[in-house]
Amino acid sequence: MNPTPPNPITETRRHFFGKTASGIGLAALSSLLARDSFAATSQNTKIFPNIAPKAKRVIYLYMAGGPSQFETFDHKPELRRIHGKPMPESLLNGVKLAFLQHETLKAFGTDIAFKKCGESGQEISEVLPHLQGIADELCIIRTLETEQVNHDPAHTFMNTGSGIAGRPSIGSWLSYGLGESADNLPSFVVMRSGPEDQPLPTTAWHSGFLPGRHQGVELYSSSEPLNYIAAPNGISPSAQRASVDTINRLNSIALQRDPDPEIVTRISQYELAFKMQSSVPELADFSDETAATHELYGAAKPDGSFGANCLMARRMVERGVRFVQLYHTGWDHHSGVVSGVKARGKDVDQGCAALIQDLRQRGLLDDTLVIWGGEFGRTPMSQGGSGRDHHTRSGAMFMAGAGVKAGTTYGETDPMGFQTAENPFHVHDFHATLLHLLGIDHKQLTHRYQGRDFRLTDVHGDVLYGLLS
Amino acid sequence: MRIPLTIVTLLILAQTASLLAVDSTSDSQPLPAQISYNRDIRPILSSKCFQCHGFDAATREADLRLDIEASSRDAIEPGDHESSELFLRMNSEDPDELMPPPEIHKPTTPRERQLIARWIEQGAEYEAHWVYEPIAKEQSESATIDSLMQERWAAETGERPITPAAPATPRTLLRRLSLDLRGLPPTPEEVATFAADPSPRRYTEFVDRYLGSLEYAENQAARWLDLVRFSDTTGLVSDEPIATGLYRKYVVDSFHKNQPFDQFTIEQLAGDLLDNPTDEQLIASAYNRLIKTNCEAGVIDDEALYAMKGEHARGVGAVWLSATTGCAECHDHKFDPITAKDYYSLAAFFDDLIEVGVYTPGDRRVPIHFVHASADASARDRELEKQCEQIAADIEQSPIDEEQLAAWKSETVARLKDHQTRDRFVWIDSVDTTAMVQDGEYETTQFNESPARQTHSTGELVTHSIAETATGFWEPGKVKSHDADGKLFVDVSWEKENRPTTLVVQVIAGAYGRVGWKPNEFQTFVWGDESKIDAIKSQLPPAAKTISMGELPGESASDAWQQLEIPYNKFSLSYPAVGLRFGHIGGIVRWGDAGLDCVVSTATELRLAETLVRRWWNTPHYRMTFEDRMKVMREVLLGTAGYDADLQDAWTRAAYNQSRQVEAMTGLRSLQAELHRLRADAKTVVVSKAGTPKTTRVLVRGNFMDTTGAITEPAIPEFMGKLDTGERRATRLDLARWIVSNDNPITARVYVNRVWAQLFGHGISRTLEDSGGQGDWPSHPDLLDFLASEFRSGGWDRKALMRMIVLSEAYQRSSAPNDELRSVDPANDLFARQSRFRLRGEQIRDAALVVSGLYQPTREVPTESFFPYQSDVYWQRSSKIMYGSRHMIWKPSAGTQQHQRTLYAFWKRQNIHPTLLAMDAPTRQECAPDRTQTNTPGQALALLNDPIFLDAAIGLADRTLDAVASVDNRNDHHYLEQMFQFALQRSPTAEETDALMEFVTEQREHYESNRAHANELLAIAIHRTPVAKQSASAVIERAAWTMAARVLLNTHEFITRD
Repeated sequence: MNPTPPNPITETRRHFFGKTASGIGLAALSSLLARDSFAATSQNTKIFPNIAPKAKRVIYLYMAGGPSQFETFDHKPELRRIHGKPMPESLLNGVKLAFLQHETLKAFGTDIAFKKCGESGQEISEVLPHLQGIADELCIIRTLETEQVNHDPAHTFMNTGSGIAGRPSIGSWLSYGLGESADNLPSFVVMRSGPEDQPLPTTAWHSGFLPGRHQGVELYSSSEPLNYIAAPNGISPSAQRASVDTINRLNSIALQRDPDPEIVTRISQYELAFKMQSSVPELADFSDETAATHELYGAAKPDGSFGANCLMARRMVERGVRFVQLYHTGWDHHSGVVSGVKARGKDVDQGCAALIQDLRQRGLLDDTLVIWGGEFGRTPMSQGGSGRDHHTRSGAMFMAGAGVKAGTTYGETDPMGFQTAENPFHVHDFHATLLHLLGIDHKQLTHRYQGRDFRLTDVHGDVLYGLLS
Repeated sequence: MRIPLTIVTLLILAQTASLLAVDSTSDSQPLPAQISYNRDIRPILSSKCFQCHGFDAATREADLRLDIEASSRDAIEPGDHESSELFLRMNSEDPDELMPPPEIHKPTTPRERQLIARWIEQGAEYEAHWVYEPIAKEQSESATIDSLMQERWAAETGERPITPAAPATPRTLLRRLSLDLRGLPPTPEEVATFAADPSPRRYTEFVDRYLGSLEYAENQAARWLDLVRFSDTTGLVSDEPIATGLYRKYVVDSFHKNQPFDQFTIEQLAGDLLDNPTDEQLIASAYNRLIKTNCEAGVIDDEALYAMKGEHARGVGAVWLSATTGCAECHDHKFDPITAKDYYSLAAFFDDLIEVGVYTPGDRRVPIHFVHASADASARDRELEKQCEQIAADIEQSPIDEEQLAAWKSETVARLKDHQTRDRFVWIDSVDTTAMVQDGEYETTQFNESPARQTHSTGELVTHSIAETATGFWEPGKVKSHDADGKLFVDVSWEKENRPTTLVVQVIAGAYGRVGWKPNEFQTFVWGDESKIDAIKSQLPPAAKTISMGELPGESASDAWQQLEIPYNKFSLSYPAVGLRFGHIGGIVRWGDAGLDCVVSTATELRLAETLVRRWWNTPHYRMTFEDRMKVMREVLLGTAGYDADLQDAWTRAAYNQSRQVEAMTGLRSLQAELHRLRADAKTVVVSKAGTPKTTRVLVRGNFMDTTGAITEPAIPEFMGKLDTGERRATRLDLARWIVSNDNPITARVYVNRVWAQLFGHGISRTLEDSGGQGDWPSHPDLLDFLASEFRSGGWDRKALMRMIVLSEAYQRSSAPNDELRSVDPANDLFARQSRFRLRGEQIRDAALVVSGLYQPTREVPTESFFPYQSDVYWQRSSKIMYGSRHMIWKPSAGTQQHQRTLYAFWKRQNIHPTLLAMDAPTRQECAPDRTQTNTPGQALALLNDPIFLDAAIGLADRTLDAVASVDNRNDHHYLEQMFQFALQRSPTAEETDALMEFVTEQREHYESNRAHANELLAIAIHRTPVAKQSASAVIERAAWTMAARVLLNTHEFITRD
């Protein structure tokens, strides 16, 4: 009879390393670390959170391409009334347009029906029936304002506060300010789904001038969710375990010869890497979820769908990941905006609602912030009769969960939905508010680079207390 | 027992300790006896005061400037800090009085206030910023790096002399030297040689040998490419490939031949503006084209152009001036004397470049330079280009009679509206005077007084093809209803006695791409002998699109021109037709004109297309696709085009002039055809080309829509002086010459500082990206100036600079601090010891290849990138979503190409190679003077699991097994010794031996009982030594030692330069 082989992952580590560490002496080691490793690499001497945090983690459902507010969250009967007629000229002076630069601008009112939902009576279109059902959880925003009118710079602006590539993204700032959040997983994870029609710039989750470890890590909806997460063929988990042990043993011998704190870090990073080799695939294994959960999300395995990614997101935040961004592409409807939004709505509606409900029933929604939105809104004018152009003056998002007013709508646009009438929601304000919810004064989270203290909100941004609970 | 948790706890403890420690340690240090403004005071004022009391007039408060001595006296009473407002405000307890104001969150520390007080007491003297000061005259004749170092230490510690670290061991030193100069580890033999004779003479020999190697040039080139943000792709959204490989070769060659840095600078910024520029100089000017370019459809031209201006201005700032010029885009620089006007004036130097804000997807980012293999071809290329330009200019500039123009216009408009009358449009003429691409042989001849191409077949299928004509293309899939009766015709005849059995015409269709048209769709039409059709199908695929057209036409009249006809309704092509292939089996065939039998309106539109196709062949045009160019002239003449009226007028005049100068046009077409055929074999590279300068305004708060700002002329930052060009508009060449002139003290300092950082781990000024007011004050100003002065006065000799530094004692010291240094200089500001740091990502991969014996030394510097192994998931996503280029797929390069130096790996800005990404490589979207150094689990995963490192581990194991094969009574100790020598150039210690012996024994057992695992493990190296040809025991040994090799490649020591 063969004895059950020991599980290489849970196997007790060998003892040599304990001897090595105590051989050097804890005090000496910590002083070494203090001096060279951190003091030299981190300038961040403030301790965050520095205000009481409402949210501990964020799931950002990012609708890439620029979802139309007029087919989703901003009901405009007046626009419908003047459908096909020229837009009032007075609205249009000095506006940056992408494709409509030289065209006659005609109003485009949608024929999609809206409904007052829940006790709050928030208006949500029929394209999103599941979200209609949880309207009382949502804080809908209708006055998104940005400064970038094309996808690449607008994504970059929405994620980094600047239209030029090179600044750190939101998730990177959080990792930098609040530290790493998960034991065996990255703090900042990105996933993608949606039609493969339009590229996303990876600068959207880059760490810019912050150290590379703060970069968003993209997980793929596949059996190999991360680059290099699987050992090469022919190397079993126990062989990999033994390899990492031997690498660390050699590094420990080197450490005895030469008390270099970088070696200590190296040893711990190999250990973490080994753990990630099981923790990351485990994330993607939905077999421990109930049938009811599979049904709620409409996904029983990571199949690349938005719903499956939503379930992955919930599993990630349960395991300590702080900032999850789920990109869903295909919202760039220069033509056929009604059918296009219907198709995308069908892709994401169930998953969005499932995620919020699931977080609620698990008690996680109280300290998890869910955000939904794209890089800009779309024009109330038509493009080519059936589409809408990119628009910087208005757009819709929603937030739910930790610290935001549930069941309210923030911001009003004018009757045409062209621009803010009340309570603008500028990208810089969004960032300030987001950091605030996580317990960070946006003016204090800075990093000096090229001689300047940079922050996510650049030199702008106001916390929008009006949408906070 | 869970050891790792202990580590984590330690890390946390350490982090907390360090956070607390930062202020207290610096505050507890005694104040310097003599305060230096630049060293002690400027950093305080710069980070806490200049924002409101500095250079930027727009944000200045209370009209107080603290950056200028005279103005500062309003707040400073020299000699009396208690009467100085500056000091009093900093110490105020009233929040309304306190400076800096509490709301900006930049409180001063007690130590800073003490420094200010002492400085004021000592007279509050200002000093000019170090980097803008003229470089100090050479120190005394006897000055050296080490003597200046000693002086600096004496100044620091006063009476008590400092004891520097001991010299490094020969093995450490040679490893360091080899990694620093070549980017590769030394061989065990080199280390043994040096260890046997570690004399200065022998050391110098190694220095010179390494500096002379191509590997040195490659290692330096990699850094330069970070700086200039070199890549194989455009960098934004769809991130399409661009032709830049020749520029990379230029950089390697330049380092290799030790081209003086001033020339290197001038050629890159303005190689195209030199007199009769060589190919090399033109290739160098690709520097200006490395900026990111966009082809997103909704981009606004003006905005994108200003973004590109910013790229140029930031580039000069980052590469040569270590200045953060980008900060002055929206306002005057807060910390440096660079104004917004300076920023735009700098950008204006680049206004002459032919570039557009928005390119066409698939555009090859013209203008492109063609580099030929032979000097003759180059000379002919230039001659032809010149002639063509001259003829085209003559045609375009010939005077126009307005009445005749008007008549031509109305006549042409009428023709564009004539959808009835039939016409004959010659698309590919008999003597192919308009073709740019051709393939296959033929003779030119005459038949019935018409020119013809004659081909001869002795029974096989003979073909030639002609494509990409200056008259553009036509679209079989988009035939208008009034043209439904149209057809493609091909004029043909043959010799009576030598009749073909079969004639073939193949229509080549495709899309416009990186290097012109990319054919991807074919339809073949066959006349004559049916029995040959299968052979034709197999030779000219696809078989499914081969159509039989019946008998040869004009059976009896074989001595006259015949016409092959293909009615439009026979076509099933969705791409534009870009060329034709002509073929036959048997006989001697003469080919005449080919084209369309169509209505007048269609023929007229197609003829008109030539004007703009020709005009923009090597010139980009805003967002207009090549396909669109075909239709523009029609729209212009019909008055339905939405372009600028002046432009439309110019195009109309050009079209008119071309239409009436038939003879000149024939000449032009013929010369251009020759030029294009010549260029078919040339290598391409994006280059700078000067045209009519664009306009740059000083944008109000960076807003391109605000056109109220003044138009700027090219100028260097005003505080640096003025270029003496008289009335002439200053050029990029003037800028480049100023950069390397004695009037500019910055560049030499910046360059030597960066080289120092490469050789010591950090710069004399630590901020390689910023030498301005917010940059780090140099720790050894005299040394920096000495190096800068030697470098510049020595003819900008890059190797000499490198040599001088590595020959210093300072360079050769151990990196281990002695107890004294550990306490007085923990951060190694004094350079009394060397530093240690992780190798760069490229160096790690290269090192693994070298020690494994797989490394392919560069024989000829490649001009095309290779494709390293890359995780499938990464690229699958990229190929579909991220990788917008429609003409490329990531396919790992085969065989030994995979083992080239990492420098030559394909660099895609949006998705840089995952291993390089993990190792802190920049994306190269922006200039990167420095790389951060992190230590992450992602690095461990890459080293453990990237296939290239397994490949290398197998190589190292094979190499070890081979080397020991001839040793008598060999045992595991021999193998281990040899493997350590290869990988780390030293013997293992007893402890290391124990660890690895245990591991190898375990792995051997594992693979003995899992033979299949061993085969899988070794599969990646199957082309080298197939496991099928090895004995079972050999495979197991190989697998076990591969695992050991893999461990060594993952050690901290292997990836560290000490």
